[in-house]
Amino acid sequence: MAQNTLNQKARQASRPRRVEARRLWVVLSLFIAFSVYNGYTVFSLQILQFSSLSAKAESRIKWKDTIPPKRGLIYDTRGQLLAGNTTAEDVYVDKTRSDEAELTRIANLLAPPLKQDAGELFTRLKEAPGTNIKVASRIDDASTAAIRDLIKNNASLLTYVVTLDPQPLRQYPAAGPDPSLGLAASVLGFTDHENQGHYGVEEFYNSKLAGEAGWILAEHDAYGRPLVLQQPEMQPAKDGSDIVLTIDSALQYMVEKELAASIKEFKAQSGFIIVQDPSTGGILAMANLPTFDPNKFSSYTDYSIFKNPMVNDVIEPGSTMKILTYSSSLDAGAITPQTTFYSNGYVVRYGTTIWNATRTAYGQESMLYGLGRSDNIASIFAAEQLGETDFYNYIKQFGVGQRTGVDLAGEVSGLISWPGDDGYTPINLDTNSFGQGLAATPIQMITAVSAVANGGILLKPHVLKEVQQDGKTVETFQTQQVRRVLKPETASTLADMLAYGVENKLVARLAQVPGYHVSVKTGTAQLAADGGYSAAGSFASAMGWGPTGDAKFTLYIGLMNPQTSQWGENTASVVWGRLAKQILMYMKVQPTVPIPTPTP
Amino acid sequence: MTNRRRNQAQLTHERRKLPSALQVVPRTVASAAEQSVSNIRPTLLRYIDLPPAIALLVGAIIIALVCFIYLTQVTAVTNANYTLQALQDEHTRLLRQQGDLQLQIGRAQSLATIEMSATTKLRMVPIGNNYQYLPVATGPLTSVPPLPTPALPGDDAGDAAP
Repeated sequence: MAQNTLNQKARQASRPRRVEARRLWVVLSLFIAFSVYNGYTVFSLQILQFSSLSAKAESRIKWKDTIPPKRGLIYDTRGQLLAGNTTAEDVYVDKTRSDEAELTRIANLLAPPLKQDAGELFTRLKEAPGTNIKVASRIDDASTAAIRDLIKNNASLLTYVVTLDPQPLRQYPAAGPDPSLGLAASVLGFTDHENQGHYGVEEFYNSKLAGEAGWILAEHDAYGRPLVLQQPEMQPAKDGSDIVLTIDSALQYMVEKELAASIKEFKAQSGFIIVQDPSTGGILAMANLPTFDPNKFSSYTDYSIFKNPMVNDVIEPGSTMKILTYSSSLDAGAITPQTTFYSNGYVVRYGTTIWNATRTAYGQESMLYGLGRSDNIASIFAAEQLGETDFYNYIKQFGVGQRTGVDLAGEVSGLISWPGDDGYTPINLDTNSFGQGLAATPIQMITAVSAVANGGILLKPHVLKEVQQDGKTVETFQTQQVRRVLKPETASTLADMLAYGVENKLVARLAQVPGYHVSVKTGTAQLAADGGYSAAGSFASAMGWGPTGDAKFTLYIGLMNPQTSQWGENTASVVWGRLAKQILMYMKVQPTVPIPTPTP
Repeated sequence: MTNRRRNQAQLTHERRKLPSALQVVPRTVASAAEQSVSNIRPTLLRYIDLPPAIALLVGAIIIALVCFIYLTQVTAVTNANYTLQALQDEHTRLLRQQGDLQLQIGRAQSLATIEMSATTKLRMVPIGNNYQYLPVATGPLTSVPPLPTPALPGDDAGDAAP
């Protein structure tokens, strides 16, 4: 009995132990299962998914940053900086953690310094795809300071949400006589925010100026700063080359000032002036109005303002063309300055009556006077004496109607019908002889006339003087002789014929410069319109060089539609004289004839 | 059993196994060298024969030391990275400043600025036609008489002068 009782007790005592053991096994099993699960998870993460996860992790800390190159500077021939670089901020808003109410507050805060409408800014922020939204590009210093203050004063809302990113910005420090316009804007062009040059030198020499962007592939810290000691892969940026132009900013300023004054004085619609060195072909100054401020290129809506009309547009040159007609005929021996003919004031060719500008019958007239009086009939006579084939050969030799190859973007070739072309009729010889019925760019015309001024050699016009890298000259533009067009004696004779016209009170008399012999020809062309000519308006011009026997500059002035007088004789010629006087003084050219003492 | 006790027991056991003559004279010099090396090892081990707690502590200290050195190095590298970055930022800032100064010089040298300063600050006026070219004779100045040479201090003539 007692033994039974003891056995029962022992059984009772052993039951909980079995239960505990069972629990232990359950817990152990769970533990093992959990460990197996954990082990599998670790195995999966570390082994199976290693490649994809490490790539994912790397992509969050390692990326490629672009290293922008420094764009090359542009200097004038005197070392004056014409285009330089600075930085300006782009403004970004990271909307990842901002709800609609916060975005509204952000838009309201940012709108005033960014000069934007708060409602529009909010809409842009809300609707723009992505998380980090650019809300303004290249803001000015005042706006940058205002936004920095905003971030400081609204730290809880704007810190890490509104960020400023410094970006390179092209600046053109030299202002023109009108401070709201840039100096030599149409020569320089401008550079956009993507370091891409547009128009002028900026576009033509973009490959030299822009340089090559570099990159750095590195891990980044929490602030996005590259950890450069982790041996990043990188390709350093290659900075752009600096370029020095033949443009002389002093002359350019003088020219722009005179152009603005003359447009105002003669109530012209627009105008241009080019100054070229006839011994090298280098452009010393090139100005047109209206023009633009390259620092504010994005504010213009009419892109035609960016065009350089002296390279990108064509004009009918009018009587300045007679310089080429007479020199061709003289060179071929078809005429001499003393060759005479009878001028009725008009001629009839192929059923069409062609008049001279004043409809005056000069009677018996020499070529010297025909040129001096700018008689169209004399010009027709000179061209006809030369003959169609030779005339057009010479015109072609002078480069009229063909691209000069000037190093400015977008040069056009011109419009001229050559014998044998579909649009050519025999009367073209007569009209072309005095600059009608053909269209050329002003750069073509001045380059051709410079060939007469320098003794008969056509030179390639250019604005590049040299290319520099790290302050050292690596490339120098060599004067490029295209061809000899005239014999030196022909050029000399024509220079004297033109000077005779200036000094003997003929058409270009107002271009006279006291103390100097200058060779100038004026021009007045009708404006082409709808396949014919406009009844109103004219293109008034003056072209010439000085001093006559030793040309230091060729100067071409064009005024579109002057209101005070339609004639180049009374408008452009006056400007030519005034400007030539300043240029000769600036170039320190000694007077060759006595200068009358000015009356006090 | 510790290393020291184990070594002593092994040594006693080997001594019992060897003949007495061999215990006194080594057979070769090489075997003598081997014996001396094998005698050193237990001696060294005797010094690092630490109780387990101390050994654990020493191990932990060594690991901590290695970690400390590693962290110091990593911190130094990170600091150097930030110093380098700061220098690069400074370089970039100075380049920007250089660009800005070039632009400032450009603006200051601009003829528009010079003209404004000349006319407003210095009250200069354009020359207009109020100038005259003067004829200058070229060649040697033969017609000009020689100028008298001024007496220098210490010259006899100078001393004699009243």
